[in-house]
Amino acid sequence: MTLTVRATVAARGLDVELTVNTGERVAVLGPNGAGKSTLLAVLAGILRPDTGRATLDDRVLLDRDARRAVWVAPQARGVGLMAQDPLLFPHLSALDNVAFGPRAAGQGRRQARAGARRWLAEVGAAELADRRPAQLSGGQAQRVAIARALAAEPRLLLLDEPLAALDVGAASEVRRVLRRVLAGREAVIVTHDLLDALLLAQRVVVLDQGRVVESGPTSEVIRQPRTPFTARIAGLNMVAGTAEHRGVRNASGELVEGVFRTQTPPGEPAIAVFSPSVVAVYPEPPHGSPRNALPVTITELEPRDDQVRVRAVTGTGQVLIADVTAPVVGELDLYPGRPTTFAIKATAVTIYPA
Amino acid sequence: MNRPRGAGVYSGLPAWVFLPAAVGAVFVVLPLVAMSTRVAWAQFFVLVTSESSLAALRLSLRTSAASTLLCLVLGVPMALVLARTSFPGQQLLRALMLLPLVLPPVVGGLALLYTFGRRGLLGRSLDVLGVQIAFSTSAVVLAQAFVALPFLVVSLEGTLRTVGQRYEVVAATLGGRPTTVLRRVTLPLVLPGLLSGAVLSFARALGEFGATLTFAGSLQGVTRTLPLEIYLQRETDADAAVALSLVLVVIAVLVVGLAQGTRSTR
Repeated sequence: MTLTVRATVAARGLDVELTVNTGERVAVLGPNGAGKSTLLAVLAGILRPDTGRATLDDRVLLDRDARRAVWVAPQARGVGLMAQDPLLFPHLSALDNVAFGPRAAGQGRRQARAGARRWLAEVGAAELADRRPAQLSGGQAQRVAIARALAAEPRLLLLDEPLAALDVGAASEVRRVLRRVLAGREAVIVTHDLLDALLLAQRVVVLDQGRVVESGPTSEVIRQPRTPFTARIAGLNMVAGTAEHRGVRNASGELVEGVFRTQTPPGEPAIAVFSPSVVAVYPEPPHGSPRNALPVTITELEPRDDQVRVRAVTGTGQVLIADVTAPVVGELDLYPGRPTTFAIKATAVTIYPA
Repeated sequence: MNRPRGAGVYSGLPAWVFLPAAVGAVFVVLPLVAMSTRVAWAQFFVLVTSESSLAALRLSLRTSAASTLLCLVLGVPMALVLARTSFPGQQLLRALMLLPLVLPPVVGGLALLYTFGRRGLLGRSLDVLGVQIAFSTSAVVLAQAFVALPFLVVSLEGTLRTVGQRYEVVAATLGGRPTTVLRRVTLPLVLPGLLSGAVLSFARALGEFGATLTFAGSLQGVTRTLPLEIYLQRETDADAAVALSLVLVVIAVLVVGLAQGTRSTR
């Protein structure tokens, strides 16, 4: 199975190209309103793009550019859609929900139900067959929804934040099921969650303002983010600017020294990243230390487990994060609004071309 | 009313609200009580089982059932189109569809007469084919359907919009063709709204008077429904009119109860 799509939706500012190859699962990341759900709607056949073309294997799903526009209705695409909300039909039992696809495909009631039972067993929900959706927990309902989507035998599965509405325990359970049943299948998974991208997909595509801004193998994109959004979900600080001999100089003229992962000629755009855990917080700029020192103003303090996450902005409005231990906050008297200095050892900063 | 009397949620209403609310309730119930005090209970059974009464009751139930069916056949597709599509002039069309709700029924009857009457817009062609609708039982059904249709359309369109299209989208991505989705997803989901709409239509049809009288006349056993019979009896035999009115009240109460029941089971 190979999917190719190219589409623009002017009303929602979407302009993307995407390919999903055989056996590949692609995670689509991006801030709210980036166009992730719009992309899925186009693929599912719920939304007609202004221009574009999509093919699934040798079949044209849509072609708005040809002289005779092609449009395949959602029910004829072989593209399954699973949303954040399981949306099980409330008037049908779990079993009949799962049997809906096979029945719609023309199977008889008994055959469809037998198949549905197998799919329920596959997602560990065999004992829920006779329950109504109202009697299922969030995680149970989502597992039934997975079985229902798979029972329709889609060639491509679209998942729109399938775990976002679940509590932590249920999410990890459903993630485990998804990881198992998606193996060897093709899927496009919209998510906010780095863990979903890592565990469910081999490749990520980052959308921002309707455009693909980053794409590549998940682990690589996370190690070398190229947009503030990706840096944030990867949990890294990012400073973008121009490469110099020893580091990256940002727009406000501050130099961040670091280790070049890839040779970058001076003058070229480059990115420096560093983890919040390597940032030391100083009340005054430190003297004579081989460190980068960035003057910042604290905006927010957020407790995280045994640490405190210190959010701050530079003079140019760039957000930087430092993780410090709780006693440090007290000793240094850190509070939102306080000017301070973030210091980072040059050896802890990674630099690569933008 | 805010005294802690057993368990319950604090209503937060100012106490004075209960006074006009109670007056309103009395205003609705008192006339019914007043009427029932005038029922000649001794002859009640005789009065309501007279030949003309039974004929009127039978005709009313029959025509109301038929017009409710007609409302379903036409109204369900209308509600679907209004709720699920958008096209230029839709607002205007919806307003026009609701017109019978606010139109005096007599005016509706006249309008129907100028459409289906012998000299009407369609009536002339129908007359050529040997079909005469005005002043027949069919006319009663048409008159009732005309005034009752908006009840079904409004109720069902509201339910369709509340339920939304999300389930239908999922059903389509599972391979459901539009007719399959309509039959197995949309209609079951809106069933409560459909039932209460049908019940309201039936109730409206049962009480229809003005349009029926204008368009269908008052012919015993053919077009004289229960409300027409009551109006006629009022002139000659007030006791019979009151007894029949009570029958209609009982039917109406049953129907409203049924509608409430379908709504609360949602």
